[in-house]
Amino acid sequence: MNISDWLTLRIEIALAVFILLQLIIKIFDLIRSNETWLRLNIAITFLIVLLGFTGNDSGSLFGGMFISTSFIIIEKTILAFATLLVLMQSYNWLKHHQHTPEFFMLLLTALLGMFLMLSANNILLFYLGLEMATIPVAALANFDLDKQRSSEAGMKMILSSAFSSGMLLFGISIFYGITGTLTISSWQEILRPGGLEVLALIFIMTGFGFKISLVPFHLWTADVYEGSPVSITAFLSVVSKGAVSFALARFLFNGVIMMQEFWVEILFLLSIITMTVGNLFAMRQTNIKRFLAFSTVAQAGYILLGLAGDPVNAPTSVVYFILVYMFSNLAALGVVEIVSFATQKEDLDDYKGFYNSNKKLAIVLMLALFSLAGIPPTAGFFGKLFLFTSGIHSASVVWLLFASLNLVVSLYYYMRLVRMMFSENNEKPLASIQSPLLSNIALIICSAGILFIGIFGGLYDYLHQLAK
Amino acid sequence: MNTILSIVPIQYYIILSAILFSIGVMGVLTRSNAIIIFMSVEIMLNSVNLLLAAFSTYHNDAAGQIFVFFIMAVAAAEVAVGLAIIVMIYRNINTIDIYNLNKLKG
Amino acid sequence: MLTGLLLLIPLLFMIVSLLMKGKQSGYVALVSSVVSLFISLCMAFTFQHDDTVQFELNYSWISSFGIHFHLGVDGISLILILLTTFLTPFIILTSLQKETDNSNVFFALILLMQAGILGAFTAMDSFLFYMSYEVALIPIYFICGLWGGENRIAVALKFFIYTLAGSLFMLVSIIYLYLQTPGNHSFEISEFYKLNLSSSQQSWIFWGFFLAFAVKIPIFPFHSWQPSTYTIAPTAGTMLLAGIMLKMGLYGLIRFVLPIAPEAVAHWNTLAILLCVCGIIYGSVIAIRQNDLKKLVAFSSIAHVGLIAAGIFSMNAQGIQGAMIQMFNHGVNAVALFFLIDLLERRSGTRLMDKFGGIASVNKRFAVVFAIVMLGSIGLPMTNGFVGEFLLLFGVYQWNMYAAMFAGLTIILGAVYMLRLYRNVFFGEISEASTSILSMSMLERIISYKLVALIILLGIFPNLLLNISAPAVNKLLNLIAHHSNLSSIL
Repeated sequence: MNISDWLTLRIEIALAVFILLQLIIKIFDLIRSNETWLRLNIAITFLIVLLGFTGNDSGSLFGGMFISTSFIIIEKTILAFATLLVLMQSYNWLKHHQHTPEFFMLLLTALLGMFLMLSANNILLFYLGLEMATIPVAALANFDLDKQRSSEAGMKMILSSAFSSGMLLFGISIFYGITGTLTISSWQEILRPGGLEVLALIFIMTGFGFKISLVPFHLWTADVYEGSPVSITAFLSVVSKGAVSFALARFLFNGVIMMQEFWVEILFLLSIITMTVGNLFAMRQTNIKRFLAFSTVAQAGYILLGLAGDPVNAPTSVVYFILVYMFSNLAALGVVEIVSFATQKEDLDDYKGFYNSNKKLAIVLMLALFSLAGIPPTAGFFGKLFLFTSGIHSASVVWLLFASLNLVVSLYYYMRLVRMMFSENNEKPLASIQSPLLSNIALIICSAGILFIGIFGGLYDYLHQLAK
Repeated sequence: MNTILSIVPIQYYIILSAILFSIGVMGVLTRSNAIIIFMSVEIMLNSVNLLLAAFSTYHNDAAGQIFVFFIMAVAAAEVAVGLAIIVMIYRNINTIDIYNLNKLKG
Repeated sequence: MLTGLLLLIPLLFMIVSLLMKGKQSGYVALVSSVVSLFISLCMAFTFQHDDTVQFELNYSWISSFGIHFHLGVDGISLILILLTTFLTPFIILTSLQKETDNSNVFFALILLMQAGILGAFTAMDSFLFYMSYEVALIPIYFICGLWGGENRIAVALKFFIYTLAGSLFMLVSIIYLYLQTPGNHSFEISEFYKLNLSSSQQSWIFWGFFLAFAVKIPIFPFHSWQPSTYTIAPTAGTMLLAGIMLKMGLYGLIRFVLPIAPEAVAHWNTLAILLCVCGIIYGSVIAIRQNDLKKLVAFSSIAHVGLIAAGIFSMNAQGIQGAMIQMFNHGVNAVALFFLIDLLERRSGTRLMDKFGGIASVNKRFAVVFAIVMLGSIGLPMTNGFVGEFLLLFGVYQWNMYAAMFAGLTIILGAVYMLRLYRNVFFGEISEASTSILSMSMLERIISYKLVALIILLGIFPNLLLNISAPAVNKLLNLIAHHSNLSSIL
């Protein structure tokens, strides 16, 4: 273990140091202004993003518990970047919040947990990272302390996450019983499809299913997304979901690759019901946050399709998709956040005639919806395309057919919202909204991402290269 | 083979923890009081702990028992946050029955 | 190089036009379209009249998926490029005559659409083709949805979802073909030509592509989006749709379906031509009963493209050559007709046939121009429509006599509805609406004379176009023949 190996841990160390520093600053009350806190944290997150691009990438630490490759670093950088965008968008809300510093500490702690989870080659570290990534978020969901819906969201979040951890742990303990080791990468030599292994795998998939809200484990999602403050919804739906998807990909391809034939079947079942139920429920929502919640449930179904690929293409396409999805979903939620902060309106009907009063925001939201629907030439199309082409590797025709049909169905409800925005008749149209500079910058970054990521295809090649 | 496991075979531990786990799951799914739900989750986690400890002895590998400590610590953290949220809810609506948490339609 | 420029110019000017305000953006767009026209003419003059792919441009785009940014021009695409670049200036000039809100966005969208369409016509990589095909769709959706007439949002949405869903089948087929290519898979169209697909595979591919293109063209019974969309779209949108955009579907049939799945075409073309013929009769009959001029032309368009598609499916040199030249001619005629109808509507505020009457005695010049355009659309000898329709009917006749007989109804019925239109609008009592058409402005005269000149020129010298596409069409037919020989040996 030499210094260059320690450098692979640089992101986590920096993050931990910053969290502790903030705690000290808070205890001694050195910074009072919320805006200073905000700027400080944006700077920190930006630094974390930059750290991803420097220094040595591959190595392992602590006797192989912690591993790092260029691909993992890229995953972490994407998550950090998404967090940065979330922070920029939360400007309005946090400016006057009573507990702003705690917000940042909790958020960054969750991020640190995700980083550890992604780098974990030991199931214990993985579990700790996973819990570290969820418990703070439950507290964050409850962050609007005086609102009942917010505490309801927190309650549902913590209950479902505790329950799913139980499921996950039961599966893990059976795997431990079979293999006698906690190291994930040595599982693949021992685990072969068999009765007990399959049972354990089902438990573990259930646990993962809760975390990335697959149907039938999605019941908490819409409530939590609706009740939480919009920034937390954004964080949950993009960063948490992204991190767990990455982790799932790594677990499937590193830990239980030998059982691929079997887990592809599980993915198949989960994927088609997730897509279908997500889409059908999204159609009948009236609240825009719930609408987006169910749309993200449906998106998770496509991620599973991508996971049915080979060990190189599957992680690549998932990472690429999450990157694209991050831009699209954060753009959509960013607009929702601005609107809901300015007017307290969150119903789909309120968005009728949105284009007439807020042209720029409407165009950003439209781009985001186009990308979520996967309409070319937006990045969302490329994301879905790569998932599909990766999935063809072992997905059945029925699966692909279901996925294509669901694409058409989702087209309908995304376009319905676009149609509402461009229609004219609304008795109480939204006022023209002034959005703060930081949110605007975040929205511009998202729009640029949506428009250009797909067209510059080199990015996929780059990820593909790293995944090899 | 370990002496402890020769007295009580490993299968017994597995069956016991499976039963405990099922009780926990049933509790989570059927009870409505938030605190009892948390207790049920604890039962689930403790069944896992039992299983891990048994396997750890079976394999002569300490890692499993270390895992148990971590699970206990994390469960404590989880419950701490959970209880804090329950307190918030109690302040808002004066009950902790989750069927009353219907401000958000499930 | 030239192909790259052809795509780049509209995109660059699109940005400039977005930054301008009001009419200025329109002039920027006009300059762009004229520059494109100039470039495409340069191409046409330096084009070697053989069956090779020229002006190639090939960059790797997403190498791990074998996607290339590969552009090239052969005889078939050159005709359609010329069509696009010829018509765009007219379309922009037409829209310049009216005030449009947010005109910078409007013209930018037209340019984006031009770039998309040109991309589809020059793409030598199927993925690039698909992308361009979709890129061209989004601007027209907004042109219809934001500047259209009554009920525009619902109509535009229907159109959008229809075509997008249709092209999804094409995407699936393309990916399927991609997976069939040997070694490191490739999206190159020329690689697809080399595949040896079994007849059941070919059938799947055929239907995948057919659904996508049938919606776009539109072939009966996939046409239900078309009349309402044409009617609500602003004139520029209708021109783009009828003049250029639907040619992408026909082009796709020639570029993909015929050479990749020839056996399937031979197997299914009875059904396909039957649908086309149904479309011809259906479109014409409905057109006869229309009172709204724009709707009339919209339905007549279903009839005309039905004939073109039938010619393509008959799989012989006459049919395909006829389709090539008729695609160009139909574009010119449709744009000319919509231009004249737009002129009527702009002056009088209505486009209902029974509101007009006696324009011939009010404005002779306009009546003559309209007459020539109308005759071109019917397909009278010496006008451009004649050569195309003759070749198409000849092609269909070679395939089956009865089909040709029914397809031939397009000329007779076309004469019926067009002459009925002409009688009602130009002869009889002078109505109030007609008096507003006293004179044509300078610009209107220039546009209409140019279009009329083009109609007559191509009527007399069809070889200008036929020579361009002949070698490429022959190569295509050889490819098809080779395919069927191969399978008969196997």
